[in-house]
Amino acid sequence: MLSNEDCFLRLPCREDLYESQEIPETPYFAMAGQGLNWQEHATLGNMAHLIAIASAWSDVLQSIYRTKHRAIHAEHDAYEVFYGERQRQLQAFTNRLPTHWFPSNTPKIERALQSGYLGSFICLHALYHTTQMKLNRHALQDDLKEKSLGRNLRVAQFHARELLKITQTMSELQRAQSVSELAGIFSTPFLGYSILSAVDTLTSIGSLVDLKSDLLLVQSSLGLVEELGKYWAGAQEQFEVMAVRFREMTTALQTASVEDIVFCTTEPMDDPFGKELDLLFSPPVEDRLRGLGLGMEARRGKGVLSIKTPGLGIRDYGS
Amino acid sequence: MTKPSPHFVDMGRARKPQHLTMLEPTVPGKPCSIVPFASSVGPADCDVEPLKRQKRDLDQVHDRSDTTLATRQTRRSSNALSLTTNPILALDKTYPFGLAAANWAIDPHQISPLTMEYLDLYFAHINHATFSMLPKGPFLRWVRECRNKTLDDKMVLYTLMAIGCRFSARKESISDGERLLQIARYSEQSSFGRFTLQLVQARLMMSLLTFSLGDSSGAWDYCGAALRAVYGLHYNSEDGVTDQAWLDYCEYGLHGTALAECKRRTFWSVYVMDVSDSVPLLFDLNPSYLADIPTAVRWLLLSPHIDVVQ
Repeated sequence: MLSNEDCFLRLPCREDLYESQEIPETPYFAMAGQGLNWQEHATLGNMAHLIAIASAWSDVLQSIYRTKHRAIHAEHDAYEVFYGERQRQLQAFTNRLPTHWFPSNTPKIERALQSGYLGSFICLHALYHTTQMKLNRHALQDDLKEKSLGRNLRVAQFHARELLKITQTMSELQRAQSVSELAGIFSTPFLGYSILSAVDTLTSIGSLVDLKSDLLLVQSSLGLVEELGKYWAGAQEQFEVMAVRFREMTTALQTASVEDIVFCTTEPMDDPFGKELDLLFSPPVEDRLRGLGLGMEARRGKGVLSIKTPGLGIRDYGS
Repeated sequence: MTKPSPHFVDMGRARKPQHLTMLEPTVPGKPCSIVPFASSVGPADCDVEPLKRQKRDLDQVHDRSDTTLATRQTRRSSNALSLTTNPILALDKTYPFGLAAANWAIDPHQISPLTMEYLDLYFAHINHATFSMLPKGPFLRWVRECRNKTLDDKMVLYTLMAIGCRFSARKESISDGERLLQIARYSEQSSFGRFTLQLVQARLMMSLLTFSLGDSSGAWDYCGAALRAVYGLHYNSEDGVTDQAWLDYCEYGLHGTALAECKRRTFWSVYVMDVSDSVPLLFDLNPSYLADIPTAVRWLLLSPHIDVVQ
C-alpha cells in the first residue's frame, strides 16, 4: 500500500478550475492534517477531501495489519494513544468539511444529486463511516482498557447505522430517479463493501429491539447493493451474502422466544483480519453485552438469542 | 520504498514522445537504444522517426489536416504495415470494434461514433466521482481533433472505452466491451516496463475493470503495477509532476500547469484506488455460505417487503 509518508505532492485543485485549465497553487498533502485552514483554501475541491479521508483509512488499515502480525504485546496504553490520535484526525476531517457535505441528511443528499457531486459525496461518507467502523472493531481485547470495549462497540454500531441511513435515502432516490441521473454513485466498488461491513456490525450483537429497527435499514440497503452488482461482480457476491444474513436474522426473530431480549451471532460475514482482532465477535458474550449496557440480561443467563450463522472464513489480510 | 534505478527513468525519457518505437530489452548499465517496432505489432498511422526529433509543436498536436488513408500511407516507414494491404486490418463496417488486439494503433475515434459515447460514460461514472484524472472538456476536444495520437494515447482510449462500456445500456456494449478489453489488455502488456502517464492511467482503469468483472486478484495485480509505474515516474513528488523536460510534448493537448495537474490527479487516483479498494479485494466467500445463497436470494426476491417488526 502507498505510504502517506511518501507523498510529497500538492493536493488536487477544484474540478472547475481543472476544466478551465486555470490551475492554482494548492497546499501540500503533508499539510492537510497539520493545522491547515481548509476554509482559506477555496482552490481545493472534492478530490482533496476524498484524499484526506483515504489517508485516515490507510492509517487505520496499516495499524490493524501490524497489530495482527506483531510478535510481542504492544506497550501499555499504546492502543489508547493510537485511538485518540485517529479520533482527533477524523474529528478534524469532519470539522473542515463544508456544511453541505457533513453531517449527512436527506436534503444534503438531494442537493448533492441536483448539483452533480453525489458520487463524491457517497464515496466520502462511505470511507468515513467505514474507517470509524474498522477503527473501533478491529483490536485485541487485551490492548484495551476495561471500559474501552463498550466504547468501541457502541461507536462502531453508531457509524454502521449512520451509513445505512444514507444508503436508505439513496435507495429511495434510486427508485425515484433514472440510472443516468444517479451516475457516479456506482464509480467504486467500495460502497458495497461498506454496506456489508455495516450490516455485519449491526447484526453481530445487541438488543432485539434495536435489531428490528436495524433490519429495516438493512432491507432498504439490499436493493442498492443489488444495483451495484450490475457493475461490480464483487457487489453481486456481497448482495448474496447479505441476503443469507438477512434471512438468518429475520427467521431468528420470527422464532425467538418472548423471553429473548438480546441476541448474538456466532460468525461474521466480514473477516479480513481474523476473529482474534474482532471485538464484535471475539470477546466473551458477557463482556460484549456489558459494554453495550445489556449486562443485566447476560447475568440472568437467559434471554440471549444465539443465532448460529454459516460463518465466513475470509483468508487473513496479508497472508 | 526503494528509489527506482536510474535506467528506468532514462527509459521513460528516451521514449518521449511516443512513436512506433520499442526499446531493446533493458540491461542494467547498458544504454538504451531505439529500434523500430517489429512489423507484427501493427500498422503505421504514426510515423517511425528518429528519437532525436522529439519536439512536437502544438500545431501538430491539434492538426486538423486531411487524414485519409492515402495521406497516412505517404508518411509510413518501410518497416510498417499498410492499412490497405494488411488483411488483419480489414475493418468490418458492421462491427468497427471487431479488430484484432494487435491493431490497437488504430485511433478508435476514427472508426466508430460509439467511441465518444463510451468515453462519455467513463466520465459520468468514473472520472466525475472518484478517479478524477482527466479534464473532460479539454480531453474530449483532443480526442476529436488530434490526428496524431500516439500508441500510448490509444492504449488509454481503448481502456477508458472498455470501462465506459460497463455502464452502457446498449445491447452491443457487451460484445464491444469484451473486444475493447482484449485490446486494452494487449496494449498494456505491449507497454510493459515503459513507464508513461498513459500507462499508469491504463493500469489503474484495468484494475477497476478487472475487479468489475470479478477478478479480484487481477485487479490487485494491475493496481500494484500502476503503483510501481507511478513511483517510477516520480509522480509522488512535485518535482516529478512538474518536470519541465517534456513541455514540448503535451499529453492530451494539455501543457504546463494543466499537464502537471493531470499527473498529480493520476497519482492521487492510484492512491485512492490502492487505499480504498484494498480491503474489498480481499473479500472472499466461505464455501458454507455458497450452498445457502440461492435459497436466501430466492426467499428475498419472493418476499421483498418482509415485515421485520413484529
